[in-house]
Amino acid sequence: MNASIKPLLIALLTALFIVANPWAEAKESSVDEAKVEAEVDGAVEVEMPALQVKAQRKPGTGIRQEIRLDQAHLERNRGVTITDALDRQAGVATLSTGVGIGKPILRGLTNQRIVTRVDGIKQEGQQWGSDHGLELAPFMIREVTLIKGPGALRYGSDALGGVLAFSTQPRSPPPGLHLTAESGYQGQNDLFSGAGSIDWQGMSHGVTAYAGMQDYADYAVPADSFTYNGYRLPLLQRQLKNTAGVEQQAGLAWTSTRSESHVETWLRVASRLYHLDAGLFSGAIGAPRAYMLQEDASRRNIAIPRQEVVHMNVTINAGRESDDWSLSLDAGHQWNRRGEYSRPHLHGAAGTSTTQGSDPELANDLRLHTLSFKGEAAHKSQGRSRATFGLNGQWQIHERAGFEYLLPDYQRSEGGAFLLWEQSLAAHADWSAGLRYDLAATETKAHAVHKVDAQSGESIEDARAPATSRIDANPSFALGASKRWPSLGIGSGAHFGTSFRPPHPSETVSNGVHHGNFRHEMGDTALRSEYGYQWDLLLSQKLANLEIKIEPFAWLFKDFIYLAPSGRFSALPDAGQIYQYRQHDAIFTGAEASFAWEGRNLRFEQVWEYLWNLNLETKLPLPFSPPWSVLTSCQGHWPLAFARIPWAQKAGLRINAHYTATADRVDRNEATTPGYLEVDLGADFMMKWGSARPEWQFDLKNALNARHQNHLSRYRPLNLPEPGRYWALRVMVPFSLPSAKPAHL
Amino acid sequence: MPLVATKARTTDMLWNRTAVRRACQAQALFKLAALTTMLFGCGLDPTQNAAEQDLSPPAIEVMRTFPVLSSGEICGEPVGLRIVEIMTGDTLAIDMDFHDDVALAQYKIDIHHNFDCHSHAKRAAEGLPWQLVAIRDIDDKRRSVTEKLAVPPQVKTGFYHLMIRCLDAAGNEAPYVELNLRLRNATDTLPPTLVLESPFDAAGDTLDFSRKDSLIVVGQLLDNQPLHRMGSASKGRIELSYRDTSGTQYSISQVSAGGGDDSTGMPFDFRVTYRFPSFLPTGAYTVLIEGFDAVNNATRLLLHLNLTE
Repeated sequence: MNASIKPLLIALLTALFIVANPWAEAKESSVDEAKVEAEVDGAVEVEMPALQVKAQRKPGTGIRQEIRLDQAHLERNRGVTITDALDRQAGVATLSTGVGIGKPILRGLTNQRIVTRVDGIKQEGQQWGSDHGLELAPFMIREVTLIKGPGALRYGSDALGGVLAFSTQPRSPPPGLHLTAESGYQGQNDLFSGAGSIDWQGMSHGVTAYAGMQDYADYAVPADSFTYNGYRLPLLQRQLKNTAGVEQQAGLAWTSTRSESHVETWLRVASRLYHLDAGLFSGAIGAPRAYMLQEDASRRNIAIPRQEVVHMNVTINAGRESDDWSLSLDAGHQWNRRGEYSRPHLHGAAGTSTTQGSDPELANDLRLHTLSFKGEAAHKSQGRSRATFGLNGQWQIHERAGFEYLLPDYQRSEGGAFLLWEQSLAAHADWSAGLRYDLAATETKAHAVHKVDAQSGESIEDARAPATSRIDANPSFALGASKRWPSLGIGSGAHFGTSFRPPHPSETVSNGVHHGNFRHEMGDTALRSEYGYQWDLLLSQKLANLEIKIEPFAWLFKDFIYLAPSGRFSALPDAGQIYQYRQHDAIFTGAEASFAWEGRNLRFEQVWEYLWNLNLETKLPLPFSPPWSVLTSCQGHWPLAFARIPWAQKAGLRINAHYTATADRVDRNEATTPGYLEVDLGADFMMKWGSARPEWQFDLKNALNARHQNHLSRYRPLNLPEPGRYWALRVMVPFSLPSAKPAHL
Repeated sequence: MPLVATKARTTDMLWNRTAVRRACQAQALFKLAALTTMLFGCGLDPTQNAAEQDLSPPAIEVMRTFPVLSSGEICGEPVGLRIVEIMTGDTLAIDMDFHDDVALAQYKIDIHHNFDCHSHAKRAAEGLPWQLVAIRDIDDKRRSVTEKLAVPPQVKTGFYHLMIRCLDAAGNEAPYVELNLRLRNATDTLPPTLVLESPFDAAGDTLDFSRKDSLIVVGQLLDNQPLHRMGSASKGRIELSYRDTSGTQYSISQVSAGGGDDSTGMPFDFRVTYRFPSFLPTGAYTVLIEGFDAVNNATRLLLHLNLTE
């Protein structure tokens, strides 16, 4: 797209808002007070109505900004992966591997620097690299809570960039039986999806069961070829070969709640299974060559190289809340497995011996058992102050197999305790302070690869990782304050906290060619814990229908761990330079700014996000840093009242324009990426059909068919373009059989 | 409605009374935000430091090779002047020029086989391929180097990749150079003979074939050298595949000679049964039967099929 057109389009959308504003003035405009709510403890919550879920109730938010996204929002913005629905939020981006695999980035931090929690339990498996996503299918997520900035005090290490808490629990349904069926199609990768859920809610017990799957084919791109290292390579039928996948998920949960004279107790037991089998673009494994990109048997087949991801968990959430006390416990066991399948000779492993009896094409088989718990007790004093004490612990056993080496077998135990004090002062002011102490013990096993020398035929032992044992102890603290001026609609909050992260075995003892990026990555056993000193501010103002929010942040990380080029080659065949984990101080700063105007039927929103980071040693930016971007969206919903068409209930239209600037602040050996504008259009329509309310949703993505590259895609280094224009259709049919008995929850 | 109106009036009055004070408060907050961003974000000038950094990658130039570079076809794709034809036991010489604006660090030569076209669809050929990794330290801003690489006499013949990579001292990576080697056996340059008994190929005529039937390929592979020797991993073999009219290739099977202790001079009798999958459309297909001897010399036969219901 012509560069001069982009600002014009942005201006056009802004003009649309200006035109829309007086038009809407004539209507009875009012802001839904339930949507934006400033809580007593100072947390400014963006909250959708009717979402209080008992088992997820939190004793306090500790002056952290929480953004809660409900099911309706997630459904409207849903993509193939759960992160597609999130990256419209200010400060959130997605690190993707083509289509179907996406990981969230919060303010430039990802993987082990953000915490992903599902039903109160931290989701593991993130340390296995960025070419697999969150083990979560989008259809079963009922609510997402996003905390930007450090959450280490409450959620432990790793929560440097923020916390994403997902809930699979449905919004409190009225007693009765509720069924939902949905189906969808997406043109760009020929995706078919189907899912169903059953929620039964009795007087004090509830049962939820859900299952679903999506099956997608190789994804289409608006290009016949791409250029890599001076070679022009074909994209036959404008598709990326072997990017098809099948994702399946099922879950079951039982909930019991009881409410007696100011005391509420709840217990929830849930289990979830997730399975993904997905191909990896053949051209992305090593140097792409024309003949590797020839068509294979079918657009839907999943050939080698491919990955298989399995996640299974059982979680228990329990709690008791009275006027003075609240207690909560989250405990769970999860099993994660990641299998990478490829041909040995393509990965510099020619001549290496594989594990006896294993699949000769199994490059990496990583298996992780995790047992975790988190308990909190809070005492409230006359609604003015609250003291919270929390404990959490986690035990992990990791085992590996396969002809490649990435991570050794290891065991890890972590535990932490915190104390948090929150107090409301007069004149709409609050403050909070907290202390935390953590211990982590990690033991890794030594690993050696047995090679057969190509010429002499002799067996050689190549030691890759030593046995290590380490204990990391880390104190941390947080301090926050907030002040509101309700008559002006102004809210403000400031938070300063320290955070930390002990190095993971992948950073201390890894030593091998990483699947996908073909880099030889090497750990360093001398790494120390990294520490963050993080300052976050929040300013918001609500004027009638308009809400403005500015969130600047400034973070300093001491001993920030990152992969740095060593200037030495790997002795492994077909591998390039050795990248070694190093640590130096780094700065992250930036801001998100948003303004939203909401009329009775129309909502206009513009979100700006900017991040600037610097490695203080190399004086270069850190890799995979999102460029600044601005998202402009306008959506309207109108009730339909036609006497002759009684089944037509509601219709909606959406337009989103997302401008992403040129990514030119890049690390060494990282390419810059030109900026682009992506415009998405959407429409939805709700029907009334007996007691069911079928909802249709139609989307036209990348409506301008702009050929662009995503700086945060794993396919960016190959110069592969992102998907062109495509459409998607989804229909959801909720159906309820209300209980004859009165609600008693 | 009157209640709403009263509330609005009250708000207006409140606004008028405290307008200046509130404006100052709001201004102060925004100033604080701006100050924070400036303090942490703008206090450091990245461009000043980045300019001192060595961010430009080194470059690799292949000046000359012996044997000289030629063009041809590899794995069905035309390849420009990037192929070296060479015999086992010979020495490959490459004259290379490396240069960087600050300081060079290392170059790496990596030779690995490409027997299966890295297609991920077929298994790699049996036998011992040639594999070589050479890493050399280099300094200065410009270095001219001649690498002489002796091809071991006993390695498997066929296509190989030769990758040349270079790093500068700061860790900047040069775009790699990829050459192809076509390695032939010095003692055996003759391809094997492939005799097909079934299906009978009537001099290039197209065979009508029902998808309900199984394709049975029976024949003999003969060579001037043993197709399999005791104790050697190198074996003669047959590879079967087919293509549709658009060129999409499907793999059928691969069968290797051997089994006996010593099959010196003995022909390899093979028999492969295959049923076309039901999802394939009817129409014209070309079946490719490839016979390889123990050092990978190849002979190809084509069968033209018209697949019917």
